[in-house]
Amino acid sequence: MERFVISLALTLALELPMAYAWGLRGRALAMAALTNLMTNPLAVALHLAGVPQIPIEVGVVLTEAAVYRTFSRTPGWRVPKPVLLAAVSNALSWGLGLIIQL
Amino acid sequence: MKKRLLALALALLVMAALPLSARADVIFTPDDDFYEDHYDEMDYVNSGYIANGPGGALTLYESPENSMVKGTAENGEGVYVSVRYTDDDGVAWAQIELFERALNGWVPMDYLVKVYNSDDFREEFADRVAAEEGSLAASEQPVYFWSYPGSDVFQADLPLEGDYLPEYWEVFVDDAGRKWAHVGYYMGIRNAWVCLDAPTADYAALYADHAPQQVTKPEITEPTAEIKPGGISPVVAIGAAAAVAAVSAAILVVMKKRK
Repeated sequence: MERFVISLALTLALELPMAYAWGLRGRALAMAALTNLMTNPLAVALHLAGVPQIPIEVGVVLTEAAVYRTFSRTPGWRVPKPVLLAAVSNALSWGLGLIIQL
Repeated sequence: MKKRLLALALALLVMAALPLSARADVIFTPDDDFYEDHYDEMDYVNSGYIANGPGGALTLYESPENSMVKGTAENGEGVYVSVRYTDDDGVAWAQIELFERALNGWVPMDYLVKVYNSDDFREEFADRVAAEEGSLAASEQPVYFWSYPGSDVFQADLPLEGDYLPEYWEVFVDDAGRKWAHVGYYMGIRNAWVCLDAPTADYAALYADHAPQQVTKPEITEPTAEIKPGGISPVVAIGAAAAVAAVSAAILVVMKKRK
């Protein structure tokens, strides 16, 4: 349980400021937080079950990119460069995770 | 800006693909996530053991906190224990390797029986192990490097040639009067014994009936208590995480519909 909480907290602590810097505001930030809540615990659970990390991370990026892209195409939502946002923010949080492990 | 961010992402991807298990080149370190995460809490073991789990087999788990089963070893099968970890409940866990099957995992230390080895022999027969220096003679015939005098297990049998020959600092005389030399290290062989009076003799040639001295091996009794890793079962964890994902997705759908 502790691993799930720490992983989600670290991910949100890194990816939400990243999303803010990317130009997301208000409910778009809430959307980004929910997207991470959708992918992160499942990614941790799959990793604990022995699924290799790279396929999991690829799945996370694709899922988050799809969500961001869907919202970017919805009137009233501002999510610039959604696929790039998903790729960069996940690469950063993954990198931070590696540094913490080392 | 975009190029820099992409370059950073690619660099992190490459970093992640690099193996992280090479902490040292002298001792064996397992390629294991739990070991990496709890590196400071590990006790180095580096010894051979025999599988002795309940129900005739040893179950190898993903970690002391993850009950995913990685495989099994039948009781009696030899395993290598690299490190030991003690969990919050005081249960000692061993990280074991079955090199021939490229299988590794975690098992309760209670389900392992230590293989009697050179260290045990030196301890048991300390009063008969004497200090004596020397080096083994060259031999075109393979020389046997035994686990201990009287053992039927040898680490290697190889001819001894060239300038660099095995050296020893301790000897033991068995009940048949044969002298044995303890070789600390030679060409990857560690802590082995060579019979100086018959270095090329195999077990049958050395002991027509039985070993001249009997060592004290522990009596093996199969454990009955089932010890399993703590923590959440992976199936339950995936189910709970999937439920969280589903609820999050549902809220996202609602958010998208509300303009």
